[in-house]
Amino acid sequence: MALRGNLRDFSLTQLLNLVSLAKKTGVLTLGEGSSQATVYFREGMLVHVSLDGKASNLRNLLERVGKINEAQSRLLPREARSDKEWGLLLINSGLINRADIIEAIRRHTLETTYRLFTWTEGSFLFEPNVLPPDDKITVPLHLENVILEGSRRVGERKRLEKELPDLGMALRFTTQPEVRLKRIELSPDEWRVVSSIDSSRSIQEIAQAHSLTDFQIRKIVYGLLSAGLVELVPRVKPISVAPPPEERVAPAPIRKGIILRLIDRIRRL
Amino acid sequence: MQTVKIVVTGPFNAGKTAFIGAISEIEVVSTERRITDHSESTKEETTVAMDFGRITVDDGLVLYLFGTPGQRRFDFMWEILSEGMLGFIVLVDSVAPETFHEAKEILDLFKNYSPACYVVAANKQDLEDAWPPGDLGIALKIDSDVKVVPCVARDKESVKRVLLELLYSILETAEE
Amino acid sequence: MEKPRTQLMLERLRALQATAPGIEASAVVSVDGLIMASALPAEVEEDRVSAMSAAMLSIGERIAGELGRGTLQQVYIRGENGYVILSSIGEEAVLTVMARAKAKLGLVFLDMSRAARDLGAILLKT
Repeated sequence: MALRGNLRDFSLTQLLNLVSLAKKTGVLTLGEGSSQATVYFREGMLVHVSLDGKASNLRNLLERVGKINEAQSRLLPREARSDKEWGLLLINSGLINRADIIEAIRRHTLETTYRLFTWTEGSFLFEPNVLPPDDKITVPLHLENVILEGSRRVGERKRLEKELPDLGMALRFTTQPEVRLKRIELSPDEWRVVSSIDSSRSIQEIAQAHSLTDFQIRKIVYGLLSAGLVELVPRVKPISVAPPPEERVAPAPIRKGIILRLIDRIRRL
Repeated sequence: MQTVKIVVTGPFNAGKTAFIGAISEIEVVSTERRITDHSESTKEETTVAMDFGRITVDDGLVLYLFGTPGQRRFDFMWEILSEGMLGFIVLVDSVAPETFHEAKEILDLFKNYSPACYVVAANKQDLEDAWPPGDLGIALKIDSDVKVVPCVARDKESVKRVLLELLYSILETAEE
Repeated sequence: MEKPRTQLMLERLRALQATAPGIEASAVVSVDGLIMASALPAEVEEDRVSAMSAAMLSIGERIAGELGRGTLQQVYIRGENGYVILSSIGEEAVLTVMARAKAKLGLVFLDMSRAARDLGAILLKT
């Protein structure tokens, strides 16, 4: 069964985790704007990737990573060949050895995949049991490492989320802002946020009120925090909300007899 | 007369009202409302307070099924309905991965309300693009000892199976 | 140009609060729990009021119907510190009012029913 969805709801990290844990074989097609990527997996390992159809050709790939230079390339036959044929030809001509080819493909696969981690919006489609085209040289890579490194590279976004994990917090102006308030220039969006600061409104609510994404609001709030303009405070819960529930009493133990009666009844429905 | 309660929860449009309707012996006492906000117009009606169904077990025992409203703004009802429940079912729309995150949040909230047993029902398995239960379980990071049961909420047999799976789980923790 | 609907409703709610001094807060809520217009003190959470109103109204309607009391007209809640009164406005909306414990209930009901009638007319105008 194919899995479809949007990266906004289900990130690449989550998808790769799924593929890895369920040891899936198949192809994942991602689309963001006009870009399209296809990522192939075999039994939960990453085996091949191509972005916008680029570098699907071994010869171009090796040229790009500088494994063969233009002069060498010119000496090679013009006609199209499959990657496997190219590989054999290059090895036999002594230009490059097998390990270099594998390494070049491995690096290409990883770098391309890492780029995909920045795609946070766009469609995905996973079709099970589809293998890469026959002529491709595949280098199986463990997804755990790819996920780790890919996530690390997402960088700013992740860091912001770490600095500001809880959008349920509220903001208030710092008590001694006068030191820093001079010469502060705010963008219109920052102004909007500043004008909405109120200890009973969560950051999330401010974002919603101004149609800002989580990422945008984090960026703005992080800026304001770093500038020392505002500080985080727990949101003041307005009245009209029930007091926090008292310590929960553990439910009375359930008796097997009752459950068996229920099971028996439902079976007969 | 003893009564026990099972709560059916899950995000908006997961199929909770249909689930209870498929198995209840009374017509579901539903508090459905026509949707006024068109950003939510993926369906015609939505539950605003609760759905309520009943299965009479025997002379001394009745099972009540409560469906929670799906939208976040009704979360105060979730807590009210979860009080004293025997177990709960988290219904997930298997063709709407955009709701998985919310399903997970609802699941965690309910776990917080009560230590009761639960199962996840991967609903709408009859639709072409449905995520298989196994994948859905991974996507939602469901603990491996919790069952993710395939489900078609309009089909009585399927609903029975989900309820039974929940009861089997409860049975394991029940006292003699 | 005509005033937007929300503005008209808000004005009507303010008028209600001005005439009935016992009323502290009021709101018009759609039957599925979204706020349409509100005159609530700053510390009252709009979303909470609207969702709770819709849920209460729904349960009230079911109870009135199931127990043979006909169409629901009003739900009345009395707490130690005051009242919450819900009154349906046609099929689509509900008027929620919060009143002080010392409010004159008769007056509150009267003013509410007038307000509900006017608000119903505003809602129909779309």
